[in-house]
Amino acid sequence: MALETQHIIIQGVADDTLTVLVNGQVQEIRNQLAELKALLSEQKSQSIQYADKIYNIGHIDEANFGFVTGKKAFNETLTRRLTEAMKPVSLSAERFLEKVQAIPGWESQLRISDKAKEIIAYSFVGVIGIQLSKLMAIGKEDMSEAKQRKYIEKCLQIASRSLDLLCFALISRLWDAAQQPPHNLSAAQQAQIARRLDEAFEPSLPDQFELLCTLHEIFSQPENGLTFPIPELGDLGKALEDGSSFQQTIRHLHALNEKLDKAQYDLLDCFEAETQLAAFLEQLSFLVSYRMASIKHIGYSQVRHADPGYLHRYAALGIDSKAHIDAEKIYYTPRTAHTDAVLLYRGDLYHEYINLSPFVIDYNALTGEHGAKICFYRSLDISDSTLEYLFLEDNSLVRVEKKGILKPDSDFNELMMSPENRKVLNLDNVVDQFREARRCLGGETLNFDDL
Amino acid sequence: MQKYPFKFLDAYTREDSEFFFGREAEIEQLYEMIFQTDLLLVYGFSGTGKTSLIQCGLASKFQSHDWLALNIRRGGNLNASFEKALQDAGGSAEADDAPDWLDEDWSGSPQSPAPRQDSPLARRFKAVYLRHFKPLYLIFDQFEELYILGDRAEQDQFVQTVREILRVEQPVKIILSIREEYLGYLYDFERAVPELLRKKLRVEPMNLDKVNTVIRGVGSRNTSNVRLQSGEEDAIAQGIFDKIRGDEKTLSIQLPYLQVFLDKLYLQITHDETRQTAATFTRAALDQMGGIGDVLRDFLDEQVLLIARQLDQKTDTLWQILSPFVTLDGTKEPLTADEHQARFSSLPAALVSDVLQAFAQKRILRYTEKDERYEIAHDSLARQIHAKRSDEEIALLEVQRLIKGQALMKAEARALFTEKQLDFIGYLSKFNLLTAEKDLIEESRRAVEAEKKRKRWQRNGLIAAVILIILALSGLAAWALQQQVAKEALMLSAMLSAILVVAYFAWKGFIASIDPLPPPEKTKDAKCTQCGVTIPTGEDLCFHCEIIAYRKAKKEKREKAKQDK
Repeated sequence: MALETQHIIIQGVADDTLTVLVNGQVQEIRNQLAELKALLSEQKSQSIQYADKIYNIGHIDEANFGFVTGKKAFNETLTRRLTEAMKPVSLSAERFLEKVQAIPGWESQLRISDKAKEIIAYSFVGVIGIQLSKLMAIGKEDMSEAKQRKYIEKCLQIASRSLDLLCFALISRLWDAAQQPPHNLSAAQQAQIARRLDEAFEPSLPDQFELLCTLHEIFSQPENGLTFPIPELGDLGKALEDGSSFQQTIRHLHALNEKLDKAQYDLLDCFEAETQLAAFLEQLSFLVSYRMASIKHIGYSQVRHADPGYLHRYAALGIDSKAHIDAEKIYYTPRTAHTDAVLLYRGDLYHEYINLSPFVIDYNALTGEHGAKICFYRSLDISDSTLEYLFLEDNSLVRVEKKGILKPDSDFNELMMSPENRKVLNLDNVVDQFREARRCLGGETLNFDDL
Repeated sequence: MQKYPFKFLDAYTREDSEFFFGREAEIEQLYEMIFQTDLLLVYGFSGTGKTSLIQCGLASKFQSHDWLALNIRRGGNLNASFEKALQDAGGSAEADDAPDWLDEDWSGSPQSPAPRQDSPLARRFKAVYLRHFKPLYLIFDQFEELYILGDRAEQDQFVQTVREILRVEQPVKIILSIREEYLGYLYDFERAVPELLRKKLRVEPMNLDKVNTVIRGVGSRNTSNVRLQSGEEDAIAQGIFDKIRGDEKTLSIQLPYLQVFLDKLYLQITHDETRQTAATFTRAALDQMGGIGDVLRDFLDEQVLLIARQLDQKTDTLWQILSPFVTLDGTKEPLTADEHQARFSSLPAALVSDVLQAFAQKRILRYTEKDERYEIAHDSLARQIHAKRSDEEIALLEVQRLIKGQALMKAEARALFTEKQLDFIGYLSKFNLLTAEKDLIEESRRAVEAEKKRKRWQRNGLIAAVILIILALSGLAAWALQQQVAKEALMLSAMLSAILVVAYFAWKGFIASIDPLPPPEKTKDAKCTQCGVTIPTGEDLCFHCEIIAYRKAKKEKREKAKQDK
């Protein structure tokens, strides 16, 4: 209690000075942590108060001091660190850093750091880029309790969706590979995969990390003869080892999640979330090289005595994706692709791709609508075996249940005449595929039809 | 802290979401559609709550970091209003002192960041995006104003702008809110932008179920200072619904009527103009209320009377001052103070200004600082003001509309004004006409003059031809007599006369077939039997009085039909 009454109140912050209230006396000191600490030590005090918040001086270091006093804005650290991490894989980032090399503290200059934020949001793969732009938007809002909560939440969501994306890419490729038996998954590995697909709740970050480690192990075992669908994941071995800094980052983020649940967060936690997210995404900067697309329609054409071709209509997923029909892109190729699929691929066109469906779906494509509504698989409702997906725009739940519209005696042609039936059939296919993947990879530990 | 839950004639906004009930299904539909298109059309009749549905219902579905809305009304010109809204949001067209490379577009592939040339509009959208990092929602409310008040050039420019917006890279969506009866005006827009009508939502009027949800919802919120008499909720909702729909027994009512009615009911119970006192709606209080027609009429009459007393003016003057804010169809027409003042050269500017402010204070007029315009708070009030207009005023407005309607048409499709119409347009000199309208009148005048001139030439030519032929025949007859061939001369003369007569009628018939001859020009020496202005000989009424007589006859016919019914 004594500490609470003896804290020093920061009344004003300027670039060079702090105006503080000590024992009823207003003083001006230099805007430096060392000077503030010296003052606190002199007063035998352990805490400071600034803008209705009390901070323990032990929790403040050089890195977050500017954040507390408002000298450092939200996303400055993240922007700088991510731009630098992207440099080897992004010419935009490289070009930007060349331009700003003579500008010290460029991340604090709004016009310049906004350009870097734009590069980050446009460069990171599809839905992750969109989530990063939301984080930038939250960072620009006026300071409030809601802003702090939203900021930490968004940092955690970005980490969680990134891990999901990697895990689903690996599971998807594993499922493809498992079509050609034999495959050698251990019971533990199967259980790990099954747990993710049978989970009734959203998995925690450590659970997702553990699954990524297991999948990495499966792909790394030579006897399985598998290649990483994202080659850069092959180099992630060290980062996934027990006690690695990447694992530490995951733990820190998880700790923030617990603080959020207990509503025990403050401004310093925002800085912690930003720092940890920067560390997290530095490891995954290769995602900048990847793109996502949602296949809307594939048409077939073959002129007599000529080779056939396929006309793909697809929606590119990212900040710049548009929802109207004219904005859908066209790709004419002699090769077809899976219909109603969400693809992850490297480069500008999907010559080679990873089909993320049914773990990542475009609900609009499935229901014959334009625009993309990208949903990540979250959990299974064990009461009725409905698949629960997260719509990434607002984190709302989208439930996909099997209606079983196609009966053994159904006339498929007649059924497909109705647009409504086609929607139901597409959603039924999602459930069927998901169950098939689950059976194939997780073993017959759960009978969906008995649920 | 408890708040007053009704909005009177204002639209609900994001901040009012706790009191916005009865629209859940439509909000969900709208929210779903937003992710299926970049151009969404919301339509419905006046008073169905389109604005509230978007600005409150849809807006509250988004978190603040996902929703940057620019609400744009036409004002004086929709394109100018859009420019201003973009500018205010940070989309400045002017260059700042930042390095040039910051404006280069590197948003393409990270492997090929070659700078691209963006259009000026795209650059402005980019500036807005970089300032906020939020998806931008351009909400064009009361979009029908573009067709009621705008000209062809303004409409075409806007369509081009929409086409360009749909191509910009930043996350931008357009929502157009329009009154249902103006959907047909979108034909050309749809041809240029086929996406326009692909995703649209019709906002239905409030039915009894929805009214029930609204009233129960408001009455059960802890933060609301209005309660419903316990156990009587359904009966109160039904009673309110019945009072508003009156004898017409329709299945739905207009949202503003409901809001005005609930406000009046509250005031009747509490007599608290500050609307802070808690109130409980009871059946007894409801029974003392009149129907919505009475409520609206009484409300407007009361306010006009009150302001008239306050400013020591006649009520007629106040009605006259309100009138320009209402179109001939009884809808709102926003005007700046200057535009409005231009119509009252006979009234002192200070008086007009005081009256406008008094109406704004009483929430009959709404003043938007952004556009610096006044407008009637809602079409429901506009209709009441329209009902107060005299036949003469309506006649004047009809002619005004005639001019506007013709000026808006394509050059090849529009008809020029007749001489009679032009005579009457002279009376409209006190109204401000757009350049296009003035040009059309001038063109019509020139056409009338040219036509008169052409017909004069025709007539004179014909007379000259006849004289020439007569002279020729006379010469021929004289020559025949001189040559002592009287009989032949006589026959020749008779034959030529017959040919002349036939030729004359054939010529006349030919002229009539290609362009009927005008009636002989009348001299203007008669007087209109009603107003006494000089009119062409042979006519009883001037064009102005003809319209009034026509309207009176129509009105009498309508009233007779009503009585018979």
